[in-house]
Amino acid sequence: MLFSSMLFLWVFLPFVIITNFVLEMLPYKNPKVKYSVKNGFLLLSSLVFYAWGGVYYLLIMISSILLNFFGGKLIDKYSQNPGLKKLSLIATVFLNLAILFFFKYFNMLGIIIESVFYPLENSESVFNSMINMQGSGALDWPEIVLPIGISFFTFQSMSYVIDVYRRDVRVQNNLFDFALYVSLFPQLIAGPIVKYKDVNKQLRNRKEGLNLFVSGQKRFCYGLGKKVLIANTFGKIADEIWALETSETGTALVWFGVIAYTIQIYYDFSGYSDMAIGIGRMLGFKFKENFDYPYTSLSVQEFWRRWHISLSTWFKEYVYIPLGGNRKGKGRTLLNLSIVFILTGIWHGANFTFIWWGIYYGIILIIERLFLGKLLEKNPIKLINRIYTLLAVIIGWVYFRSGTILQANELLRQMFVYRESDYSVLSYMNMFVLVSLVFAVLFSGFVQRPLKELYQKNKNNTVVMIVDYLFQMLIMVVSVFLLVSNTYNPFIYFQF
Amino acid sequence: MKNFLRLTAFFAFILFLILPTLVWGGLKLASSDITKSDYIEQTENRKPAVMPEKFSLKTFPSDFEAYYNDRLPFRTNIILVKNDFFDAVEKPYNEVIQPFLINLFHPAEDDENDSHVDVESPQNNFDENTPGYCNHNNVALETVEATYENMGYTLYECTICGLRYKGDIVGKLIDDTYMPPRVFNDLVIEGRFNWLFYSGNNSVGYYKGTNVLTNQQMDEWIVSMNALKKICDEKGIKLQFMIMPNKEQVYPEYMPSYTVTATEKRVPVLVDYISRNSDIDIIYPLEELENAKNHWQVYYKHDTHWNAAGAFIGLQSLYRSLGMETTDLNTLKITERNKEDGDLIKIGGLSEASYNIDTGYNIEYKPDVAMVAEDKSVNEAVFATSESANEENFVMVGDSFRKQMLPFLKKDFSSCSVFHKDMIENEKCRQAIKQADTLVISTVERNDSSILEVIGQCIQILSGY
Repeated sequence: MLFSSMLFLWVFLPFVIITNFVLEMLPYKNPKVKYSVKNGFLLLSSLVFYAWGGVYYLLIMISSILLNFFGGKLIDKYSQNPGLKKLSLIATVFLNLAILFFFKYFNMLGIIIESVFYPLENSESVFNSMINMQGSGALDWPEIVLPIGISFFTFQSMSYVIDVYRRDVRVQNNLFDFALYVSLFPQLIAGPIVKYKDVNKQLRNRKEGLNLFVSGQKRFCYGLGKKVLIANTFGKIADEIWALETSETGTALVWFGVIAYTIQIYYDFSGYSDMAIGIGRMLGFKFKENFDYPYTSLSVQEFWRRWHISLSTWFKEYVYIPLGGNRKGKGRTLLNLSIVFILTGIWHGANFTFIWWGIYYGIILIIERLFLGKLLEKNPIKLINRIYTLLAVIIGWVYFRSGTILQANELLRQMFVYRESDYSVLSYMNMFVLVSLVFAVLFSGFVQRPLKELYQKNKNNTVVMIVDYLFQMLIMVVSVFLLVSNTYNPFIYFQF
Repeated sequence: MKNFLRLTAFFAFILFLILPTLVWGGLKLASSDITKSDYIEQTENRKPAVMPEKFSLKTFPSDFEAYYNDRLPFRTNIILVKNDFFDAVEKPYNEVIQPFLINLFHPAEDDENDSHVDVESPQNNFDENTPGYCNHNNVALETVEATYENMGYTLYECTICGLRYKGDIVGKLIDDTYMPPRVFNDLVIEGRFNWLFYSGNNSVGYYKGTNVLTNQQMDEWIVSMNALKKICDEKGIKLQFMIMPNKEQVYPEYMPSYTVTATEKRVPVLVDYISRNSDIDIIYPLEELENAKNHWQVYYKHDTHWNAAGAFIGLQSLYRSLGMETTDLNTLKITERNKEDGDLIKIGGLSEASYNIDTGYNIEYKPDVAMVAEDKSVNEAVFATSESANEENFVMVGDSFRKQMLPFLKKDFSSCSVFHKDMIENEKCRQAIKQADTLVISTVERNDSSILEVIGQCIQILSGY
């Protein structure tokens, strides 16, 4: 089920909010009972939410929940036996990664083996075939469908067992509470990746006060607007341009498509995070922020402190720091950085484009660490920093979005070597796109950051509050209008 | 006050989430007629989704979501309001901003090869009611020999403002300024002067000539067609293939600015190849329709189909190929009529109010030939008998383009069976094919490869399977 679907907005969400509220208001003799009932209801709702995308995937998530729950208990059981404790951790993490690898990378492995041992007849080289994911189909392995959100809940679960191992948290003995932590529907499908230590207390002690609810509703409204009004608009443009043959595209069109994708991915992802955080607050949970206006960054290092924060902190805590971080000399630091970013690329998808995207950022971050970062810091003309950072990020997105490295390279070539296009940028423009473009650029942080202090001082001002709430409702109304209109689905078959 | 505002915001949010459902439910309880909406059937050409009879855990979520989406509270009203609102919002963009951007990024090119020929101003062709007429009081217009897409018609150009006029058509106007192709609902191309075109089935590829078949592929067509021809010849059935042009091939002047570099297009090349390399009878009446459009509008503006005039012209081309007598449309009584509800408006999710009424024709054809019977018991099929002197059993297996040809076919053959290719397995249709004297397999250009499937089915039917 998607947050931006009418079934979610007009059926699932109000049902969950109202029932949660009613369960909160019931008289309980024991507060423990209250949380058991509320958590039970939220768990059931979350399982239904996930099963809606595929009933069979629910079994995979439940298996992951059981694996990590009992893994945590095993680690705790052997807390006095370092050897067995470590073995339990390794086994649990290994099984988590095995499940993730199977569902996410099995098909990719098949293509790699085919490229090497059963190459296509007309393939130029094994290496080219492999990196462009050109499998011959010789192995005829079954297509493994990726369960939605598996990367998120696997990493989320692993953070729990690692924290139990490190004794950062106490083991959770209530299976249902643990299941709720893993499967809570606001952040299940697209994050943020919530660490157990950030929410464990909230499982049994949270308050759904009016302030928290209203702040949650605000985040949800703005998140919905980001997704429906901006991300979907530019996503459609990016999809259409990327679907063209590279023989039909040209410099202006590719730039437009890449900018459209740059806007889409930020507003889609951050919009979803806003909705997740917002729903969490409406249900009494406080999740950490996942985006902090990354496109306003002055360096790529800063970009990665502001983009998908929950993932970068996960890798920092559970990969970079255990590898030694920056405490073992410059060479080792750079190596650790490289490993983290290769893994980041791999995490994002089963394609060499993602791996190359990770390596690309690793290289840039190494360069910034070596000398460029200091230059950027000292540079008084910050506009240059912004242009450099945005350019680096936009180039990265070309690889991220493209189906193959070949396609990405060709699009990049067209971006920087002038070529006429068969289609004009104007083909994709209309008033709605134009207005969305203006909003998308301004409100990617260039308005919010300078006005943050001013807003904080005045957010409780009556006029500001009224304008804010009216704007939220306007966003909700327009978003719903668009979502309802998207159900328009003419049947054209018998016409022809 | 702050808490009051927060409380108000809270209730407003909750009400927004639940009120539409509650009000809709209340209205439905009060009277199911209030909420009954034929909108989906009328505008989306389908029935609302229903839950399947057999429950399946795997498909239940998608089935239920489709079911719910078709019954969203106030769905019709919301879609209509949204369409009207967006139309209003787009108007300043279309009228002001887009022309400005076009001038900026696609300035009109100077005509370096002006060949000015002094001709008498075709004043009689235009008046102030001509749409887009520049009203420069009939100042001498100069011919421009360069034509759009080599269509061969004469263009006139006002010497004051440069606006161009197609000289052979009364009241018609050509605009060759840059117009970016815009597609609605992924399927409908916005053309010039409110014309709409269908972009599905790779229509743009057919238009641009980017999907021409190889010789090997065309040979495969010939093999397939010959296989059916052999059986037809053995049974004494006259076999004919007919491919109707896509609208944009006939009216490219109303298409937006696509880059068309190919000199040959798929279907003309295919028809020519088949004609030169086999005895198969196949027609593609593009030239006839291009000539006819100087006198009548032969395709609808807001519909994918040809109108009665276009169908009649196409049919005369078919009759010519069959060795039958043809009729000049000029000799018939034709009255213009209004046509609304073009399918492209619905497919594009567009607001009807934004499109003026389309032109159709009533053509009085052989009023003296009486119809004897018309069997419409089979969906998308008509089996008609008339008092026509032509006693051949005529069978046409086609698509929706067949419908406009039917009124004429019924009068030209005493026994006429015309049905959609998807009904071919119906027993009545199968019998009709077996008893045919003339068998025509027709399709619109963008679905040309459907002919191959129909051929296979006809072979099976005629072979006794």
